[in-house]
Parts: sequence; C-alpha cells; structure tokens
Amino acid sequence: MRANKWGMANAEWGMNGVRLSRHAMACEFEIIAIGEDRAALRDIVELALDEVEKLEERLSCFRPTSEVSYINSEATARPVIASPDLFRILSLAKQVWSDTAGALDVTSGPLVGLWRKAEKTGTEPDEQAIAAVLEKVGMGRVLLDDATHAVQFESEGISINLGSIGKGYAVGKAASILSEYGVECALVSGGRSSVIGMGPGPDGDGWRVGIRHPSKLDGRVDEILLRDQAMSTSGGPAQLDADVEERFEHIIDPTTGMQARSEAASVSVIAPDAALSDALATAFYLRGREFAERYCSEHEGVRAIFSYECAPGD
Amino acid sequence: MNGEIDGITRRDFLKGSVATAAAIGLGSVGVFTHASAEMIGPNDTINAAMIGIGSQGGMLLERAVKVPNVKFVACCDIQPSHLKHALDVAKDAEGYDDYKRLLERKDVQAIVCAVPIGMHAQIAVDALRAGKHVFSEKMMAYTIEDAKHMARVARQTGLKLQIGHQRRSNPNYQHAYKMIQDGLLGKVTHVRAQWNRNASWRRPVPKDSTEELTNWRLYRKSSQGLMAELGSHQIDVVNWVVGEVPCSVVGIGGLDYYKDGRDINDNVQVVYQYPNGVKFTYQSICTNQYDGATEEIMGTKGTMVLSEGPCMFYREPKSDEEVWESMAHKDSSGGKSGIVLDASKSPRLAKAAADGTAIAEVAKLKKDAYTLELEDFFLSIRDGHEPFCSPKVGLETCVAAIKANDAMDAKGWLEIPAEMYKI
Repeated sequence: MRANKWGMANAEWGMNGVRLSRHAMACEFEIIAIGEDRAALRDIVELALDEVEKLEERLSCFRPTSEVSYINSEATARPVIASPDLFRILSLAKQVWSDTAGALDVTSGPLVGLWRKAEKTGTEPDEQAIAAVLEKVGMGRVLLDDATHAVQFESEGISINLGSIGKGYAVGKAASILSEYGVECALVSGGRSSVIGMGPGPDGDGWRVGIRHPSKLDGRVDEILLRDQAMSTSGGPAQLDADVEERFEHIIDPTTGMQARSEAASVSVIAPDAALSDALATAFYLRGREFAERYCSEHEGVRAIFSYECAPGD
Repeated sequence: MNGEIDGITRRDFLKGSVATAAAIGLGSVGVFTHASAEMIGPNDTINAAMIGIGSQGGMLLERAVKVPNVKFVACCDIQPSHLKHALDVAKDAEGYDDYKRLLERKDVQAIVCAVPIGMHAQIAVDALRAGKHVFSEKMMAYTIEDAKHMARVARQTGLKLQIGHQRRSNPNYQHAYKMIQDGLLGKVTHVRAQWNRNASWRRPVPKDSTEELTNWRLYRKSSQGLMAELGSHQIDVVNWVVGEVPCSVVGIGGLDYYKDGRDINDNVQVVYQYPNGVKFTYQSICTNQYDGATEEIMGTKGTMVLSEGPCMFYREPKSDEEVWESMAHKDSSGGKSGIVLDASKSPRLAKAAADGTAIAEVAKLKKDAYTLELEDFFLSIRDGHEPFCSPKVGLETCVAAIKANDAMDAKGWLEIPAEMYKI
C-alpha cells in the first residue's frame, strides 16, 4: 500500500475516509479526512483544495495578475485594500518580523534576487550594492491599517513575497474549511514543509508524523504526534525537493543583507497555527536555538525541534 | 437573521424571486420615478454597493474595493456568514439582509450583483429603477424574456448595465480578437470548445444555509445548468470572434452519473450553426477533466487555442509563415509546437509605447480579467462608454445558452430566429 509523504499508509487510517491531493503553490497539497459519509466528505475536501488554489491565485508574486502582484505594483502610489486573507497574512508576518528581530521578512525578495545574481556571476555583491538593496527591504516600511485593511508601502521598490508563510497559511485555511463543515479528524499538508493534524487521528492519540532526516530524503529522525497542532520545517531535505523553487545552500539575513549559515541542518516548529509555524521555522532556522528557546518560553503552544548533522562517530 | 426575510422564508424568497422575475419580464417597462443618471466626474468618488456575496460575489468584492475612487458603502446578503465576510472586505460598508432596503439609499450610485441566476432580473431591474448603475453577474438571466426586460430598462433609464462575462476584459483575449480581425486565422470556419471537470459540482451546505441556496445550480427550477454557468462564458467568446450569433442549435445531454437528487444535466454536447456557416461544437462534462476549459478557433490559416491560462496560435502547415513568427515565443504540448499569444509581448504594445499609451496598456496586463471588467464598469459610469459586455452582448449569450438547453430537452434541431436576439 502506498505510503504518503508523512510515512503513513492507507492501512493506518483505514478506508473510513478520503484522501485527495492537488498540485498548488509548487507542491502537492494533500488532505486525509476521516468520516462516515465519504461522498459528503469528498465534496468538503474538494472545497478545501479549491480554496488552496484560490489562495495561490491571490498570494503568488510569480503570477502577474495575483492580488500580491497588484499590491506590489500599486501600494507605493496609494493605499490598497487587501482581502481579509492577505491582510491576516501580512499582519501575522509583521508580528513575527517584530518578534524575531526581522528574521522573517516577506519584503526580502530583492535581497534574494541580489544573491541569486551573485551565485550566477560568481561575484559577491559589495557593501554599497547590499545597502542599496536594503533600502527596498523592511517589513517596517509596509503600513497596515487595521481599520480599513489598507496596505501601503512607505518607500519605492518595496515588494512582497509570501514564500515563507503562504503555504502554511493555505494549510491552515484548508483545515479551517474542513472544521467549518464539521470534519473533526483530518491531516492537511502542503508539500513537505507544513502539516496540520486535526482531531484524534486514526488511533485516538493524534496524527503521527515524521520529522525528516536533515540530509536523507526518505529518512526520518523522529516521530511526533499532532493533535490540533501544526508543524512546519525549514532547511534539510525540504530544501532539496524539486518542488521548492528557491534552493540556496545559504540563507540571507534580511536585517544585514548578508548570507548566513544556519547552525542547524533543519528546524521544525510546532504551533497551534500553520501560518505561524511556517513563519517561525524560517526565522528560527536563521536565528538559531538560543533565540528559539527564548521565544518558545514566552509563547505558549510553540515548540521547536532542531536537527543537526553529526560527523561520523559523533 | 432567523431564516425569514420580511415574513417569507429563504426558500420562498428564492422560489418567489424566479416566478416574480418572469412575471415582470412579460410586462412593460413602466415609469421610473427614482431613476436618474447623474453626472459623475472622473475624480468623483462613486458610492457602490454589493448584493450577493457568496463565492463569486466575495471574489468580485475583494477586487472592486481596490478600484480607485470607488467606495463600497453597503453590502447585502441573506446568509449571515456571507454578510460577515463582506463587511470584513468592505470595512466601511453597512450590512443589509434585504436588498430593497439597500436600494432605498439615495447615496448609492452603483450596484454589483452576484446572486443566483433566477434573481438577476428582479434585482437588476429594481436597482435600475432606483437610479443605480448595475453590474450583474453572468449569465444575464434565467429566461430570455427576463434578459430582454433588463436590457430594456437599462436603455430607458439611460443607466449602465454590464454583464459579467469577464473574458471580454481579458487582455490576452482582446489581443487574440484583434489578431483574428487582422486575418491571422484566415477565414474562421469552425470552433471547438469545452469546459470539462472531474468533480460533482455539489457544494457542502454551510450551517447557516440551505441546499437550495447553496446548490441552486443543480436544479432546473433555479438554474440553466452547465450551458449557463460555464458554457455562456465560451459562447460569448465565440459570438465575439465570429462576429455573429447562432441561428440554430442541436444537442444531446443527460444526467447520467451524479444521480444524487439534482435534475440538471451532468453532461452537455451541442453544435451551433452561425449564419456565415461557422459550426461551433461545445461540450461540458463533470466526469473527466481532460483538456479543461479552452476555445479552439479554427480558420483556414491557423488555429487559436484560447483559455484563461495560456493562449496559443498554431499555423496551418500550408499557410505562409508570419513575418513576426521567428521572433515569437514558442511552446509545445501534446507534440504540437505553437506560438504563445501573450498580450504583453505584442508588437501592439510597442506601437502603444510609441503612441504614448503604453502605460495604460502595461498596467492593464498586471490585473486579472475580473478586476478589469469592474474597472470597465466604473469607468463607463464616469465617461458614458458602452462596457465591453453590454446588455446586448449579455442577451445574445443568454439566448444561445437557453436555446441549447431547449434543443437538448427536445432532442432535436432548433432554429434560433434573429428577432429572438432583439432587445
């Protein structure tokens, strides 16, 4: 029997449910939902997957007609009213940006572009070039008006790329639709980066998902039970997946504009909300274990698992 | 909200609206005591309202609130969850569960309406009579008489009425249309189109709704089925590029797979004939999504495959190569190599740059067709131009879709007299 990407075979959750997947956001979204009425369950799961597709249409900065592209092209000149979904994502992104000293910054796209070009040419950008690009980066320059949901950029050249939070948000949104229609037991995943386990799972104690080995694509270092919790992973083999568009050996610190090397091979974050776990995984991967420990001690319900490459014999 | 509106239940509201709209359609237009086409300047703020904020309406509202100098001051839906979402999108708006009360507001100048098809005519006519410009979602109406009535009231009030066939506003479709006019395809003789999906089309019913309100598309008493909800978009494209309207139709359809209580067809296959001889073959099915939704415009010199995704051009092997072909972006699928029709790469854009109109052209390419059709609507209110999808266009599409359903019901060939298309 074919196992899914979390190592779960059909036998583990039985045939008392549906399992559907759809390609969206450059990965495979999958939903396993358990319930008696399979026909009704299928319609609900399809609706949740439709919503993921709609979110992709809105959130992708690679689609010229998406809402994010619209805001990127208009919000310097005037305040633009964002959809409730986009405003929620931007508000959370700004909160995490603030809480992680700028480690998660959805405006850091120009820096990625700069270093991508450097990799191609083999020439590192000088301080002046980095400083010039940093002028176009900074979530602090994105003004969010809670009263009207208007978004405005404070300076020229700012643009939003939700690659580090959008997939997690979509997983959470799909889960909320399942819940809205009475589905209490389901596993929703977006590629290998974010997963949410709803309800008691097939065995009654939660959904058992694997934490992947940092360097072996099919290996796992641990298992964890998710019950009404989300988990997201940054680094490790998730970065080697064909469906991950940006593959860098190094990560970029949005506050300095410089490349950095994570101390961990991968970081998994468990949180009540998938958008939050997705955003924090990116931030913790950059900021490291001490920072994550401090954050987790101050934020209830958030845990982090750091995986390290060990030298042979360690 | 307790399920009753002005003393009638939601179920009665839906049923009643269809019947009432049909009755109105038979009568004359009447006197418009409230109608007034006031002048709105290019920089004046238009006060707008949204009626019907389900899946489609919510999508439209999220785009409409972004249009500069348009302020949504009111929203109406009979489902509390829909209204709650609307008021989260349009934060300054006041909520209503009765559209007639909303229409009493003198400060509302324009209505965007996305309700079930059976209510299109009644709400559009009431809004026009109350002096509001109206954008009404497709298909124009549940009956041909209703559609004509909407068009007549719009004409008599002098107010704008636009129907939501958004492909007319899609830059790639407009680009393709211009190239067909320029003769790229030679003489267009045949069209094939389909909208194939592999899904039940049944939506789960939210806690605050009913089967009839949520799945109205699945029942004949409230829906014209696949031909209206999907096919009408593509009929509109074909009418546009062919430049005529169908004069006859033959079809076969059935309810053969999703026998779950619905009574509309889950598969439709029809062939239209146009006065100039063009044959248009159309299919929409719910059990296989091969080829998705495309329109293949076939001419003596080439074929265009149009869609809301990529649009392609395939030159006929015997046809001369176009002078620009060697520079064009090419792609291949299914073993066929073709030219990608991309409005942003068009030589027309270079010409627009030379003419000084490129900024508007380029800006247009960054917006989706729904945003552009709404911008077209609000601009038409300001400058008086006829929107891309006028009442005439909406009526023509509506007639063709409904006659296809009639042909499938009659299991025969139906003529569509030219006067049927007249407002």
